[in-house]
Amino acid sequence: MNPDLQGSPFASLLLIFLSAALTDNILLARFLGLCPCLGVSKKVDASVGLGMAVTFVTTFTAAINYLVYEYLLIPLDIAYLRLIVFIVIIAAFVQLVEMAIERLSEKLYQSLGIFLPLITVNCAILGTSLFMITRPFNLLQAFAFGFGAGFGWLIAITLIGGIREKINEDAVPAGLRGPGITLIVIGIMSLAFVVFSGMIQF
Amino acid sequence: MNKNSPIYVLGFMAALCAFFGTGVSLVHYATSDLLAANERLNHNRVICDAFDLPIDGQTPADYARAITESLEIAEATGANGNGSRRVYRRYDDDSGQLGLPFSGMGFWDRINGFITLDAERENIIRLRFFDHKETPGLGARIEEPRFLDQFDGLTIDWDAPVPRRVLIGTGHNADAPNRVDAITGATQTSNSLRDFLNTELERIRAIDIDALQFQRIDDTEL
Amino acid sequence: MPAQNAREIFRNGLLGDNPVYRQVLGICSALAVTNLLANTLLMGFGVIFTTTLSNWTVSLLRNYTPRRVRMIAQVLIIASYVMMVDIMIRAWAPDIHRFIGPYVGLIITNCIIMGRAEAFAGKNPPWPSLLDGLACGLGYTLVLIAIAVVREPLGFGTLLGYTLPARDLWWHSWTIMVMPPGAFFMLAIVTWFARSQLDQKQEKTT
Repeated sequence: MNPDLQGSPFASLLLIFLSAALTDNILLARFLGLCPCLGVSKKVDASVGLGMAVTFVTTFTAAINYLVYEYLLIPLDIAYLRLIVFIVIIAAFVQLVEMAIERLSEKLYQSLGIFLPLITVNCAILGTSLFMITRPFNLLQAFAFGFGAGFGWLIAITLIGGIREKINEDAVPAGLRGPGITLIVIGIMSLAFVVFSGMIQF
Repeated sequence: MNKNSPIYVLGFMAALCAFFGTGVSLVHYATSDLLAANERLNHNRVICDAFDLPIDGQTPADYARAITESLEIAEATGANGNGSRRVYRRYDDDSGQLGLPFSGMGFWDRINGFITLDAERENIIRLRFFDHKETPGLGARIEEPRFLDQFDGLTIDWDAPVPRRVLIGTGHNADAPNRVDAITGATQTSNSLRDFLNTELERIRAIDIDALQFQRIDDTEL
Repeated sequence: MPAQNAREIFRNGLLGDNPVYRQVLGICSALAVTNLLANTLLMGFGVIFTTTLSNWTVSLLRNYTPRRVRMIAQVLIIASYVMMVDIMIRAWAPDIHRFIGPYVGLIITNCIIMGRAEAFAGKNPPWPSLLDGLACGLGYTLVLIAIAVVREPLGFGTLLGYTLPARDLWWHSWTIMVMPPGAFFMLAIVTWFARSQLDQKQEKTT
C-alpha cells in the first residue's frame, strides 16, 4: 500500500494514522518511550492513564510543532534550532495542560496529574515531532500522525500492563522481577510487531 | 523575590532560552562557512567515488578538479515529482556513463544517495550515499562496502514490475541477476531502500537524455 | 541531602545505583547501539561527556530555578550542549561526525542525563554533581559494554570488528542478537545477574 498523499484526504489520514499506530509503532518498532513504560506498566489502569496523557500531548504538540516549524523556523531560516524549540514547546504544553487540569477537574487531575512530569521526559513525544517534519505532511496529516503515534504508544503500554498483571511474580526469580521480566515481555512483543513492518510505505 | 511568581518563572525561562539559543546560534553561524565547505567536499567526494574518477590528491580542490575535468551536467525538469533532477555525464571518455542523485524515506529520516549507470541505463555501475540517519550498527550498515559493492555491475530488470526491478533481500529467485542481499536485522531500512530506489529508477528511466542540454561544470559551483 | 564523598558517589553510580539495571534509565539508546562494541564505546563516551557537563550546569543554576519549570530548564541545557558539540564536530572533524552524527538524537533523549539532573544535580553543589554525572555515565557505559561483548560475537561473529578465529568453520550468526529484541533479552539477563549479585552482598553485610 502506498498512501497517495494528494489523493482522497480521508483515506490518506486514515492510512497515516494506521501506519503510525501499528506498522511503525513508536514503542515496539522504534523503541522510543521505553523508560516511562517500564516504570508505569505494572497495572492496566495506570498504563491507560499515562497512555491517554501521552496520546493527548503527542497529538497536539505534533500539530503545534508543525505550525511553528513551517511558519516560523523555516521562513526565519533557523531550522537548525528545531530540537531546542520542540523540546521547549512540549515542556510548556505539558505545563499548561497540568495547570488547566488542576483548575478544571479535581478528579482528572488526581488520575492524570502524577503522569504529567513523566511526559516531559518521554522521548516518544519528541521523536514524533522530529519524524513528522521529515515527511511531506500538511497540518491535518501531521495531526493524524501525532494522534496515531500517541495511540500506538497507548496500545503498546496497555498490552504490556495487561500481560504484567497476569504474570505471577512469585514464579519469577527474584533478580528478574519487575523490569527484568518486563524487558523480556517487550522483547517478545516487538518480535510480533516485526511482521507489520513495511506494510505501509511512504 | 518569590521564585514561584509567574513573572519570575517566565523571566527565568526567557533568559535561559535566550542564553542557550544565542549560544547555539553563535556556534552555528561561526562555523557555517566550514559546514558548507564540508558539505560540498562530501558531495564531491561521493560523486568522484561513484564515477570512479581519477583523483590526484585528497584536497577539496582535487575533487573539484576531477569533476570539472570529467563530468558535464544537465537539469532534467520534471524528473523528480514536480521538481528537477541533476544529471551528470562523463565526457572524458566515450562511455557516456550517467550519474544521478536519488533520495527517499529511510527508517528514521531521508536517505540521499547517488547512482551511476551505463549509457543504456541497463546496469548499475556504483551506488553511494551522501547522508542518512539510520540506526548505527543496523540500518547504518548500508554504507559499508560489503553492502554497496553488491551493486557494482548489477543488472536492472526493466521488464519486471516497477517495485521489483532491483531486489534487496529475499526475492522469488535467490540467484536473480538483479538481487542483492539485505542488511541482516535491518529489514525496515532494506525495504525502504528497495522501495524508493525502484521508484526513483522509474523516474530516471523516463528522462530523455538526448534532449538534455549538457554543460561543462563551473568551478565555482563545486 | 548532605554532599557525599567522592568514593561513595562513584560506587553508587557504578554499582549500587547503576542507572541501567537499578534505575532502568537510558534503555532506548542501550537497545540501538549495543550490537557492535565500537558503537557502544562511542555512545558511552558521548553520554559520559554530556551527563558530566549538564549535571554541573544544572547544579550551578539549582538555586535560581523555579521548581515548576525545572524539567524544561534541564532539557534545554542538555539539548543545547549536545547541539553545540554536534555542530563543532561537524565543522572541524566532518569524518568523525559521519560516525557519531546519528548518536546525537539518542544522547539528547537519553533519560539518564535527565534523571541524574533531577535526582542529584538539583540538590547538590556543582563539584559533587560533576562527579555524579561522570560516575553514572561510566556505570551506563559498563553495562552497555557487558551487553555488547555478548551481542556482537553472537550476532556477527566479530568483536570490535575483528573476526573471531575460525568463524566460517563452525559459526552461524544469531540474527536475533543483531535486532533490538536481542538487546531486550540480554538486558534482562544482565539485570537479573546484577540484581541477584547485589542482593546477595546486601544479605551478607546486614
